[in-house]
Amino acid sequence: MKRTLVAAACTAACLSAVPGFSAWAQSAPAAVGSTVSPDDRELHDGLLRQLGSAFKLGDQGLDPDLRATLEAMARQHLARMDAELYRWIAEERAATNGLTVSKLGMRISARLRNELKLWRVEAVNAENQAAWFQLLQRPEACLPWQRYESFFDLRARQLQLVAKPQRDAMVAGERELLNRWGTHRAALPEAPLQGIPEQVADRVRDLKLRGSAANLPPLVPALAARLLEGWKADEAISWDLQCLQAQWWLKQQPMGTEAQRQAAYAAFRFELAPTTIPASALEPGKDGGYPLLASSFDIGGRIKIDVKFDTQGQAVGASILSRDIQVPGIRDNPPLNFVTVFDKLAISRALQQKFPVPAKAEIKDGFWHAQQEFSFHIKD
Amino acid sequence: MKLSRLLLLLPGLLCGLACADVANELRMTEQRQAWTNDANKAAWFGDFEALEREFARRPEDAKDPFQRADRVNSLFTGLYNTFNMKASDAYYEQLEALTLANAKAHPQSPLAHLLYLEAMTSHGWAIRGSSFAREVPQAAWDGMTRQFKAAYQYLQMHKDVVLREPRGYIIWMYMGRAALQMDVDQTWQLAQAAIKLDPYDDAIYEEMLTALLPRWGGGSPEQIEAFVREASKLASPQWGHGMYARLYTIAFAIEYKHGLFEKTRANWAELKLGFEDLAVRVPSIRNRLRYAYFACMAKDRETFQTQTGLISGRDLKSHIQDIIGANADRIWEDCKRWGAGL
Repeated sequence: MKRTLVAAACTAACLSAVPGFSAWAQSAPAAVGSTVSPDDRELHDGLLRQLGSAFKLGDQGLDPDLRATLEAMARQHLARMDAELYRWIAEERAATNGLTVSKLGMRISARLRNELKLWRVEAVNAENQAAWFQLLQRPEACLPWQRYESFFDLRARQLQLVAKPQRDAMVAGERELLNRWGTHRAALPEAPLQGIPEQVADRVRDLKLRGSAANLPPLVPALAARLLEGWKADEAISWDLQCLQAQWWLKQQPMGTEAQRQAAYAAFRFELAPTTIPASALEPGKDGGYPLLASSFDIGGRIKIDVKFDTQGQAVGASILSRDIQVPGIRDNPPLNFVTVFDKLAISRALQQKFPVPAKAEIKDGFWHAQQEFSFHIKD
Repeated sequence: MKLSRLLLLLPGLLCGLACADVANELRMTEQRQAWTNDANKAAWFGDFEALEREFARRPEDAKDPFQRADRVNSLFTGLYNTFNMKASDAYYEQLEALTLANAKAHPQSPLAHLLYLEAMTSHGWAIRGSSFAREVPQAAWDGMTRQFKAAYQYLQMHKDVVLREPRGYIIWMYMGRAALQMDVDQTWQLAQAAIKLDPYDDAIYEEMLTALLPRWGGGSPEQIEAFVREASKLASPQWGHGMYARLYTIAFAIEYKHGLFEKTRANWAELKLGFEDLAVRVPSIRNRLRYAYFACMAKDRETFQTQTGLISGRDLKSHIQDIIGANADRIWEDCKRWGAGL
């Protein structure tokens, strides 16, 4: 498992994932590369190959024009990242003395994974945001039963659903977003405090209890089968269903004001942004230990939680109020790819508590609330 | 040409016919499968726009009425998984709510209303369950009837749109047969109205025939024969005598099985003409297999030998099992032995 999380060396097959890789790999900036140690160079090359696989396009089903444009875009981006990765390695070396190659690899890998997330969470401008918003609400944008090779391929197949000239504008937006990798972003949306799947689970409970009285938009059949009938419930949810779930959630959001629209859109994009994190890596470890993701990337932080107690002093509910997460290697931008890393652990710890009702507790409808902060530190 | 030379050519000629059947069967099956898969996916993911696009493409098929009806029927076949899931009321309530919302958003779309009607009637069947009729509790019958009556009322409210399509009449006929105690004369009136819209849509004739079969309380063997002859006449510009054979193959499959000739007025001479026309107009291995098996049932050895000589291709065994049903392998072997005069 760990090998999938940390910047493990990529197999030679990754090379073939990047169209025209060998041509531009040979023209990598020798001046930068020549100043690094052989170990760091090997790390750099492995990461670059790994990144290349995230930009592989599938063999079939893409318009030739769109494919050519996107392949050129991927080549340009990977060529830029070739130099950028050397810069990141140098930055990390300068920031921490005596960093092992393994730790260095974790940091750079964390930063790369975060860039993948930021790429999908942010929008170029309001027009670009509106275009994607419109597209992502269409059922076919969830690419039902379609195979795709990479995050970039998924994006390509979504772009293909849009007619020109809007598609051209959206493709240009993608180029602009890729150019932002490695830079500080001033206008990133906040990560939602409660994820869409958790909110959906609440709504489904309500739907099962109250039926049509729950007054919720209807579920599409695939989602109704999964959420109401337990269809394939023992399997991890596929991306297409996850996407439909987010679409269903979106239909329930208040959209009266611009602020509401922005908040809904931010959460929606956050949910649909690709992640390299398997759900199991977010589960608390054995005996309440750190999730695998946190220990793999040396992540620490604090989570503030609102805990709901009953009159027996037993915790019966918990919700996140704020997070402050630090991920080594990620400095310029919030670690959006990792912000939920301690959510489950903190909530499970909060729910295990039992306290006598304090004298000053304000009891309403048989419950009282208390705020608590949980700190998580990684021992080196 | 000398006889010996002709005999040498014969296998080639026969193979030519059989190979054409196989190629055509494959092409038609793949095409139908593609339409069905597209509809299946669109329905499962609630993509009604994709279904509308597919439905709206029928005018492209105007020159080929087989294809036109095929496309619509394949689309409705594709709905099957979504609309006939073994699921709870909660699932069907969502399906009804979803299709109703779509119908409200597209009030001029016959397909949108048809999807809602499908959802309501499918929910009715889900309430009834798949047991034999005698094992269905009264409460389940009542639940099913409620659903069908509600669907009927909805259809009446929107019939100006729904009945622009033969499918609108077909679902009305189906509701009448399954739960509304409609008599065969009323059903025939609806069928005639649908035939006016598309005389070559086999689904209309199939639904009418089903209503006439004994298991639905329908008509006598004479009524069935009269209907099949009338259907054959109405569809003849496109189907020749083909509809006569097609409808009796359905009667065979869902009701009479190997007692077809004893329990109906099916006429073997007419059936032969029908199968010959089907072989020309919609050549397929399955139709040829049916022709051969019907010849076996009718004890027409010469026709049986001719048709079995033309049959080749992949998946023959599964086609035979599919067409003949229970004990197919043994029955087919018996036919072959009889055909060979053993």
